Amino acid sequence: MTDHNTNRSFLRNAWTILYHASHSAVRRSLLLQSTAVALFTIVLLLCTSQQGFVRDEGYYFRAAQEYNQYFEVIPNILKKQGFPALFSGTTIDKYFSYNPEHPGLVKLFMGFTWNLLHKQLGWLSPSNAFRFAAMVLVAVGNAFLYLFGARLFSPKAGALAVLLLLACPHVFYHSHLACFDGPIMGMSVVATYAFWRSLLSARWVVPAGIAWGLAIATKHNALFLVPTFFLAYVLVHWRQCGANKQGLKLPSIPLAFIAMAICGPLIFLLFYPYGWPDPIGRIRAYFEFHLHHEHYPVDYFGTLYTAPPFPMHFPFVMSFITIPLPILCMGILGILFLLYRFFTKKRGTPEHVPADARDAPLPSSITHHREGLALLFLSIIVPPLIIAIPSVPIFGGTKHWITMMPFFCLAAAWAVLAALRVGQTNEHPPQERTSRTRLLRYAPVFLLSATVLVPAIETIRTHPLQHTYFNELIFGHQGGALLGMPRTFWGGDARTLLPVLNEQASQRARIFTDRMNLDDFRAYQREGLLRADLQFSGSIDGADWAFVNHQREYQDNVYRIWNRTGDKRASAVVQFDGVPIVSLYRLHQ
Amino acid sequence: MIPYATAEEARISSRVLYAVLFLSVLLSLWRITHAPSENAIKKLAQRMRASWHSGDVVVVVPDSVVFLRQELGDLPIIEWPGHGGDIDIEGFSRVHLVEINTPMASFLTPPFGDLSALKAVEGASYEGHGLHWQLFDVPTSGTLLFDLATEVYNLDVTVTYPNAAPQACTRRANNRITCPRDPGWNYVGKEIHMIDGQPRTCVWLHPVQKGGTLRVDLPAHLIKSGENTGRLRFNGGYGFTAHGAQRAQAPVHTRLLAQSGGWDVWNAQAPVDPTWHTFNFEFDANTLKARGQLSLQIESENNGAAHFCMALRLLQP
Repeated sequence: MTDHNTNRSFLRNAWTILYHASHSAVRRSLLLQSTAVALFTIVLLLCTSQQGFVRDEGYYFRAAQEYNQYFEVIPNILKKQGFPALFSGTTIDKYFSYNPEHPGLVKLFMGFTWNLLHKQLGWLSPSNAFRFAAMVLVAVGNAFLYLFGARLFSPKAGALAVLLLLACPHVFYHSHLACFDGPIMGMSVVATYAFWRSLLSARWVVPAGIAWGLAIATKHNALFLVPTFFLAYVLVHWRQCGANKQGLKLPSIPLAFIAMAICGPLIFLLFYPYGWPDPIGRIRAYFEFHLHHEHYPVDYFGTLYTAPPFPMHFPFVMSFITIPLPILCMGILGILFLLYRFFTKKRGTPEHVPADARDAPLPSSITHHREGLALLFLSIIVPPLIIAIPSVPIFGGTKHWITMMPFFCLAAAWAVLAALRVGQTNEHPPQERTSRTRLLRYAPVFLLSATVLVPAIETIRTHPLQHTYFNELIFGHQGGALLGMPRTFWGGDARTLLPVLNEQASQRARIFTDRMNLDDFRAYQREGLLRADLQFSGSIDGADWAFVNHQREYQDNVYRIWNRTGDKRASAVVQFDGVPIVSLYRLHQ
Repeated sequence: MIPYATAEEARISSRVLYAVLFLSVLLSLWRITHAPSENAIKKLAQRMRASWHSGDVVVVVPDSVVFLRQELGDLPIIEWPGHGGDIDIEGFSRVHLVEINTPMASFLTPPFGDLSALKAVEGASYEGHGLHWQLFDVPTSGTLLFDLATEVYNLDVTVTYPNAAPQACTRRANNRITCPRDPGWNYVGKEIHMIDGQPRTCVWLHPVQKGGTLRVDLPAHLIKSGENTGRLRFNGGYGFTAHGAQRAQAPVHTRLLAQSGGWDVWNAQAPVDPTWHTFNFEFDANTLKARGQLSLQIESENNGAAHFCMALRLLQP
């Protein structure tokens, strides 16, 4: 009896040790793999950072530099004025009053990377040093996407999701920019993952609060993560709701929400120095800016929308025609299958795990898996739903609901991996294998390569103007232009034509830059991409050369140039399939 | 809950994936093979230049593909968006119609309206590399005697500001005749503006403040010529630019005025809307001769954002 008990105890202990050993081994392995994913993302983005400076980048470059100056003068302030002066309204306003309509995290980080990687070490150009901060946040997001995929489905799904995400032209473009969209995409994944883990493990409660705090310190989109998390939780636990004689019965509130409520505002304020002298007043002003954000024109199916109500289908249709076809279809298929699994419990139970499954997920409960799926669905649908509200600004195309893309790509990756199973089963014994079945064994390799390569080729083809991409459903750029869709928006396209200007423009020639603002013009000059003698011109009338970004709302600029020169031929054009994106006109011979 | 696909899901996913990859590649190839190469465009442009006559115009559809603009942009060229009414080819003797057969254009671009009545010139056509070129003769609708857009730079322009004496607009620069006040908009000149969904060549005629008049004197010899007998035909169009149609405060009153006796040969009120309004009327030449020089007068009750543009031609049928 004693021996038997000892044996059982030994076996139980051995199992526990093995379980924890394997668990921590997997955890270590996932940590290494996710780090590799992050490094891969950073290297890829840094090596392909030829995108022009968009209008907003000009503002953020300046803001990052000004914010960074604060840290440089801290010793001086301490020495001359003492510690309290660091937080005085005068000091704060001097360094942080520019561009207060966005949170500070990304700009502070950009200032830091610029200072370190450009100013101190000289490793990167100023623009790449600024952009590096955004790239790091995108890379961190990708690492967490990998982790989310690995734990929810399989490491292969996580890895494939990252590859598919990077193969989406619009996502690839925005991931480079020193703006907030790539970073908030990344931080949304981090916050979602942390929240999901916190539902199972108390160790993740505080990290979940911190992750969400960092997300709202990145961009205001993160506020919508709260209803997303809440709905996901309710979707899984709604059966626990009800009423009985004791009163209303509700599921327990996840502790992460409490952590978020405490950490979120504190972290936001920590990274929003402008708010320090008057937190309530200045944070209220920040929110009011976004609640009453101005509207910019949007060309959509030939109609130039300048004011609400905007079409509700805009984000859905734009996603439909700007996500590469293989990712789009597999993403939709993945969502449908996973939704079916989520709502029908007879499938998706452990006994259905195929015997040959080698890619086992880490141990977790069925409920937790369903929570993950609910978070996946809602993270896909909530961002475009918000933009679909007719009063919400829709300018600028796809970047405002870009936070859905990592999750959409994860659903697509799941469906692709499902498709690969067809060729993986060894249903036929060796003697019965025909050339067809042998060929089928290679199908997964082909499918996987093609699924990544087909969109990746489009990303390469449109480099560095991936934001102009339309998929094959509307025959690319020509179809988009013919249907009256927006060709470009953010004003960074002219970088491609700067070499023409450098070569042909006369000394001190005046350049009308259209959608490129003065900050960007100066940034190009600082980086040596544009000749230092060339002058910025705010109007066509006073210019010798003119850029034209082919946006219908500014199409009159083209006509002004034609009126002036009497010639419609541009000196240089960046076009795809004959559709011009940006043109450069010589106004004087 | 499991992450793995069942056999059924795997089978469906596999089929969808194969289909979508096949479709992607197929559509990409179709797009690539249907897009005209720059070389083909260059060759066509050379051929068109070789057959170019004065009075020709190029009409390209769709307007979103600019290959041909880059080759022939120094010539009269109308890039037709495929909507916004018929193409205005009045005053041209021949039309070089170029259709760029992009895949989407085949589906979306409607057939030409008023060009179907034109007579194709034999031997002057090309088909291939996603391009279709055909030269058409425009049936003569009369001899063009005067085109405001072409000749405006040589005309006399006078402005009368409210409660002020008439003043001549004398500054001629950058294809504009600029008046004494508000040079940013108070000028007359040939321009291209997006009106009613099409870029249109017309003459900028922004009215001055309420009570004032902008006047363009048509050439004195125009009507007096002894050659002008029988009927004379005026045609053209007018309207607010896309921007003006959204923001203009009041209609613009346009008059074609005979100086002798202040007789209105024609007048129209341009409502604040995005429409390109066309006109076409005939007069007896002798009646017009008797009335003297013609002037175009522009007025408005409120000239705020009255970005007004007009085309006017005189023909002898």
